[in-house]
Formats: sequence, structure tokens, C-alpha cells
Amino acid sequence: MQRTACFLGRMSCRLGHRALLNAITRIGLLLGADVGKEFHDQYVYRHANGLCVIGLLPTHAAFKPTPAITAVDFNVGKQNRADAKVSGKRKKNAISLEPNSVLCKVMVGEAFFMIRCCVRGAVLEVNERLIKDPSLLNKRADTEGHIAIMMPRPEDWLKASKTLLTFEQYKERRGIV
Amino acid sequence: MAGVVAGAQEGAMAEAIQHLLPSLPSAVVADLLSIGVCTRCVFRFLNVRSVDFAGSIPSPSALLAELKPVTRNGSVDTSTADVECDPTAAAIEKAATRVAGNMKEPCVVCLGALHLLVDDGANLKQIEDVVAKDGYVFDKFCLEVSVPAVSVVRERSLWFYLKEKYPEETIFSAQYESSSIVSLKEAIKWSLITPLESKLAAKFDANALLRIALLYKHSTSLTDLNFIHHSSGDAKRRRYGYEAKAPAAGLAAVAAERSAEAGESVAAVTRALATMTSKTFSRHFPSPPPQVTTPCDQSIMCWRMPVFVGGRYLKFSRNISQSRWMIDDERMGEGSVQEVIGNVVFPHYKGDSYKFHAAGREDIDVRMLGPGRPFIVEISNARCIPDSSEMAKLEAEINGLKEGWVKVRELRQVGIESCAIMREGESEKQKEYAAVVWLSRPVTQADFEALSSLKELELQQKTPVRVLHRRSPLIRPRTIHWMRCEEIKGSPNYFLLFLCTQAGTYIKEFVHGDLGRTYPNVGSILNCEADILQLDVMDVKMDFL
Repeated sequence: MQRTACFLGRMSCRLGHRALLNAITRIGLLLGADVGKEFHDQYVYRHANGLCVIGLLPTHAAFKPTPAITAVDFNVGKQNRADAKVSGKRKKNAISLEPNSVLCKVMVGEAFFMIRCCVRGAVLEVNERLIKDPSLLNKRADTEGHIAIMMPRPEDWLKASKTLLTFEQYKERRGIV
Repeated sequence: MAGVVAGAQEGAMAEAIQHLLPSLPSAVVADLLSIGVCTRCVFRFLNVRSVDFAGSIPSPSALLAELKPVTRNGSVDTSTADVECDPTAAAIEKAATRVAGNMKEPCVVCLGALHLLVDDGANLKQIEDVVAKDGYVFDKFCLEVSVPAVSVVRERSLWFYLKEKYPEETIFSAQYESSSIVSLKEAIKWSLITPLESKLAAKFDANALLRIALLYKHSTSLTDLNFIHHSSGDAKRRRYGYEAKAPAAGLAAVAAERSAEAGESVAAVTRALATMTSKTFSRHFPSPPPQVTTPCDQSIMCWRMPVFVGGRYLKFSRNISQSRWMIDDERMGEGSVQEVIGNVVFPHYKGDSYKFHAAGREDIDVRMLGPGRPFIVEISNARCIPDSSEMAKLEAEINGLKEGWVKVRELRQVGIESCAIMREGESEKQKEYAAVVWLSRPVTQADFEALSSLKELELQQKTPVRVLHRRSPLIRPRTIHWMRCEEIKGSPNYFLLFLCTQAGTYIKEFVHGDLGRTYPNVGSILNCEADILQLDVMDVKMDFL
């Protein structure tokens, strides 16, 4: 899908020159297809500095038949992910989550979808703008509509990257040209 | 010939001292000499400041000889003379035997610092050798002296003795000796500065960069200092493990602090004695101070304070970082501004190492144009200092490098205050930029107007993702003072954006929005998507000297 390809390219520019080099030379953008459930497609963008931006791909089930997400709720699991006050260079008080942990719930009317982390690590920041303006997910899931920013340890990233797909593999799986 | 001149000088000196002696209480002088105090320390304790300590000073026996005639002549009425003479005469007799016996014993107060080491021509030669060994080239120097900790105790001991024995003498009336006598440090300096000036062919200047530090230590008396360590302040500090702040600058001070580990800190001793009464003191240390067998030893250190070379640099390459940048032993980029400038400048100073400071920094892929960014190279322990004509040559050398990555302007030597000015520049001064911006739709005149009409635009910038791994997650409010746009002919989706911002503003993030974490951003203002392709720093608005 052209939209997918576009935003992948822009994602690299978005996060700086270094990231651009990264997308071309290393696997910067990885995709989780069917995360947890079928057609729950997410992206994991890894910046050169190791931080990962988690978000939804256009083929995610929540966007079927059209993007019409009505609400985003970070109050899942033991702590409300939006309440954590991460401070300092050492990122004190950040919540540590597993790849399977739920980051947030995304509501389309009555139906809701669980969004998972895909990678083990500390959650530095969730996109709290989604709480006030869930339409960001419908309009710009690749940038302003990202879900969270995480900081995995190098070993955890290595483990996670093995379960994730490259852009080519993802295109094949979904039959995108 | 020289002998005659020296003799004449000795005679002249003795004359000056002869004039001085009547004003000094002879009983005290004799008493001090009998205790084992050297001549200079006698003068010190009588607060004599008019004598040239660096000149020829009589030995204790010669001084004693000068005393005798005075006492005899001083008596007018034989009856009163007898009364006055007797204690004096007795003291002189006692002193005579003492002085004759131990000419080579160190003074009980200065432990040899003011007589064994100062009058020794070999000592001056030693200082000269240490300075010459490293090849320092200088015309001004500063002398730093660090006295042995135990001399503070001994001075206090002598003072209490004198106070008690001569209560009628007003010069001993103060509770402590600190402002009533010439300090040992001062006396050593007075004794050495003039001879050193001629030996080193340089002038003494307290602000000179070249420092010669003389450290006097008397390690055999460490046990004497034990009573100091038991006083409350220090004991607590030791127990809880935190050290008092080291005295500011000065090589001697640094070395003295190092010797504090050996238990010899002058500051600690002075602190402890500052409030100790003579009763407490006398319990721990005898008055007058007892004889010692070994003199203190002297170590000589020579060091130049950091030299600062400043200027403004321009960076024309989009592939060199400001400072050396290594990731896993691999260099990022082709080089660094620091190394380009340092490799030319540093060798001419023959220093130990250098540090590079700049008023802020730019990314590796950003050019620095316009007047340039102020920078300072701090060189440690420089052996020689080039003059201004050589500075001009260095500037030309850097500007003539074939790679052409970096140019410098106004390269010159600056003072230490420039460092603070630079830090201020980094956080307070405005900067101007030029950026190539892409929009997701063709650029219009309305866009230009929308941007240039915004004055003093307030941004809320979350810490950019690209630095979030090493900086605190904060929201920083920043101001964009003005913006100006220019079209790029032939590229409908691109334009040039010129902007002037507050210090610490992330420009790239203002343009592309950083996933919406910088708000407002160019995309949100123009209602489309925006991205930044190139960035140049056009000006760092700072008057740098």
C-alpha cells in the first residue's frame, strides 16, 4: 500500500539524519504482524540510540473497515501507563513491561483492541495526546498517533527482533505490492 | 674582590641590623636564641618587617655578639642597670652556650626552612634545575609555599611561651600569633623571591601563569600532630567519611591537600588550633617548642596554570563532529573540529594535554557559518607561549588546511574569565539558523506570510527522541524570535527558512514536529507535513571579547 511505504520512509526522516542512515543500512523498522491476535499489526521503530517507538500499522484490525477509533485508554494492567512520572537521565520510575504486556486499550465504539508492547523494556513515555484526541490514530498512526516510546536493553531487543518481521516479510504476509 | 664586596655587604647588613637592635627587647632576643630559634624566626616573632630577608642575615652567634654591646651601653644608671642587666645577661650567657653548640640543628620553629635551606646556594640551583628540566619559557613567575603542618603548632607553642614569660611586652598581647608575627610562608617568600628573580631571569608576579611550588614537609613529627586529629570536628569528618573542600587553586594547595592523607594538613591544624586555649594546648604540646634533630625536607614542583586560546570557528563540512566521537572504538564522521584546531595549536605550546570548549554545539550534519562559534582551547602545563605574530601564523595554518572543513577567526590568547563567558553564551545567547524545509504539498506565499508574521512564538519541546536516551524527559519552553522564508526556484515543495531562536531550541524538531512532541511545529502551523533536509547555523549572537 502506498500509504504504508510513504510513512515508513517519512518515519526515518522524522527522527533525524542518523535514523535515516539506520533505516537503509540496518533493520530500523520492524513490524509485528498478528501481535496477540490475527491482524493486530503494529510497528516497532528502533532509533539508532536504541529507543523504540511503538504504534499501529494501517492494516491493524482496529482500522477495519475504516479508521474510526473513538477512545484510547492507558489504564490497563497494574498501573495506569499514562500516570508514570519518569525523571532524570537514569529514567527513574519508568514502568517495565514484557513483550506480551498490554500497553493500552483502543476502542472503536463498543469494541476494544489490546495493544501489546512487542518488546521487553521500560516505557519512557506514552502518547497521552491520544487520550484527549484519539483521532490522531485515525489520521496519523505513523507519527502523531504513535502509542509509546520504550527503552529496551540490548539483549531484550535482540530477542524481540527475532520475532518481528522486516518490511519485505510483512508485505509478503499481507500480500501488499 | 668578591670576598671584599661580600664582606662589605655583610658589614652593611650588620649595620642595618645594628640600627634595628636597640628597638628590640634584648632579653627576648637572647631568650629566643637560647631556645634554638634561628635569626629570621627571631625577627619574625618580633614582627620585624624592615629587614631584607633575602639579604645577608647574621647567624645566631653573630646576632648574639651584637646584643652584648647594646645591653652594656643601654645602662645609664648602674644601679638600675644591674637590675635590668641581670636577667638579660643571664639569658645571653645561656644563649651563648646553646648557640655555640648547635649551629647545624634546625630551628625549633621553622625546622630549617628559613636557615638551612635558604642560605644554601645549592638550593637555589636545585629550583633552577627543576624549572629548566621541562624547558619552561617564561618571563614572570609566581612562588607558592606550603609549610609543614607542625610548624603551625610550634609557632603557637612559642607564642604561648612568650606571652606567659613577657606579659609586659605589648607585641605579645594578642591571643594568637596570626596577625602579630611575620608568617613563615611570607618569610620564605621574602627570602627567596629576589634571589630567584635573578637566578631565573624573570620577574615575580602573583598573577603569573608559571607557578613554582615549594613544599616543606616534616614527616618525623607526625605523631606530634595526633592530638589535632582527636579534636571533634575532624574526628566527625573522618567517621562520616566526607572531606572538607580543598582550598582554591594553587599547586601548593593541591599538594598540601594530598599530604593531608599523610596526616599533615595545614588547614586542619590551623582549624583545630583556632579555638584551642593555651591550657588545652599545653596539655598536648610543650612550650617552648622542643628541639628537633632532623630538618624538614623540601620538594620543588613547577607547573604552568592553564593557558587559554580562543577564537571563533566555522564548520563547512557536514561530516565532522565538534568533539571526538567514538562508538565502540569506531570514529563517527571523518574528523572533529576539536582535533583540527587542536592538532595545529597544541604542539606549539608543548603542554601535557588540552581540552576543547565551545559556546554550544551543532550536530555532525549541520554547518556553522556566519561569524562563527566562540571556542576556547585550554592547554595544561604549557612549556612555552607563542606571541601574537605566531598566533596569526597558527590561524593561517588552520585556514590553509587542504580539507577545508574548519576555519577559525580572531585566534588569540584569552584569560580564564572567558570560560564563564562561554558557558553563559551557550545558555543565554540567541542563535540564527537557515534550514531547507520540505512540505507535503506545494509551498505558497500564504505559508511564507504565516511563518514570518509569527514573532516571539512560544514552543513546548519535549526532549527529542534522538537524545531521549541520555537526557532527562522534560518539557522545555523555548521561543522563536522571528522567521523569514525564501522560495527555492524549481522545487515547489521546498523552501528556505531563516529563523532566530532562544538558546537551547531544537530546530530540527521544530520543523518536523518529532512525532508531535514539539508543539507548535512548522507542520502544525502550515497544516501539512513538514520535514527538514539541511540545517546551517548562521550566527551565534555573542560578543566574544
